[in-house]
Amino acid sequence: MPKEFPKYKNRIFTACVFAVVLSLLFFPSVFAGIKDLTVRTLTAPFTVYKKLERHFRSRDRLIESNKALRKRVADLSLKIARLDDICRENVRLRALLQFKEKFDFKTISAEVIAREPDDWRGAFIIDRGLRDGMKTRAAVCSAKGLLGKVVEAGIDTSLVILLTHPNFKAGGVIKGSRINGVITGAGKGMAKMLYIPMSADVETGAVVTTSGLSRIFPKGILVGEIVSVEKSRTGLYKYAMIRPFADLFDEEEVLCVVDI
Amino acid sequence: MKNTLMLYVLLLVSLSVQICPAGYSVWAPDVVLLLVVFTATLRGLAAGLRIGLVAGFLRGVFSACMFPLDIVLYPAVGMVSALMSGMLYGQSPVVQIFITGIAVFLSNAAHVLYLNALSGNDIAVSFVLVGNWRGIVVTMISAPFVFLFLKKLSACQAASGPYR
Repeated sequence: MPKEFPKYKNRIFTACVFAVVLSLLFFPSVFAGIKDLTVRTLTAPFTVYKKLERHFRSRDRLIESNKALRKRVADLSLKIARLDDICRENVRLRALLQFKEKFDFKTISAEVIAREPDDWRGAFIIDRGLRDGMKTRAAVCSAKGLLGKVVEAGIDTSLVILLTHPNFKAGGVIKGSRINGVITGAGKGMAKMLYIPMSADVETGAVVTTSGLSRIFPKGILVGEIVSVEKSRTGLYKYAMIRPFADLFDEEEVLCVVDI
Repeated sequence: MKNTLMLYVLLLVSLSVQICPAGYSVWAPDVVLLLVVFTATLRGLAAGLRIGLVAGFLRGVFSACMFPLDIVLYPAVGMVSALMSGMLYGQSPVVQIFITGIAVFLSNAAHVLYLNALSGNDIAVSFVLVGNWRGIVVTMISAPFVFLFLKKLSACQAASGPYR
């Protein structure tokens, strides 16, 4: 390679780079395909490693895990049977009161394949996209509670922001007192519930669930517990800091609600 | 040419480790940022801008709503690092720690301010810096060691054959 690199080639290179960057910013449809390809390429080694690891797991661990899972399935089957009865009773009571309710919603299961490099906000990528029926703004949950929502649905992958992400917003309600508010992310593994009336009596340890008012999140999904309550800067409302129930960085399998 | 290729390969590897869902640790240094700062301080402005652009693109792809910021921020971090290295003695470990600290602060502050503007929240930069203190301290302290390792790697590459 010659020592002297002609300056005009540097300028052409810089101009090309700027053109590519601007086109990616102003023409996102071009970006969607490139982004999907980049994600799948960079996560391919981990997908292969995961498959190999599962394949070579020891027999004894599998047998033990199988035993424990069978017991759990039996326990859960009993619980489901009991809850089915309660659900049917609930339907009858609501029919009596003439409430209109939907109980079935469409879900898609997905696996987490990559996470956001910076951990203080909270976002991850799942292996389901538009091709699998995913929709933007679909709620994402785990067995322990609400995790977040889909902000970008690609062809084969989707980007999910956690409920601790500052861009996350959802309607929430405090169990028991039925005080409504807006849940938003506060970064560093915490969320907060805004617009709690000043006169409201909110206790630490109270459980927060989704209110269902936003029509994105089904009603009654566990969000977290309140750890502190403070007055806003304006003094017009209170806000409560929430510690989420879901394990934000340990979940590998999640459930996405695409239709409520 | 070989050294440049090696840096980009290291960039891909370090980003792959950072985005891996398992193995998350609050004590892990920001290796991608360290690579950008290293290239800028020891190779100059143009090299720093180039690797910053690639690093910003890749990080933006894996971030929520951050792509426009990352693709501008990382080249800017490379530029600031190159300029500061030119003004100070870039070979000194203390200067390397200082420049890395500036880069980490800029990165965190820019992300917080951008998100606040986007979402209407008022998360304080200090809240994020205090919350991330482990990662920030480890990144700054590991800077001289990472730079030394990369320099030795470049020297091995140079000794093994024709180089740029």
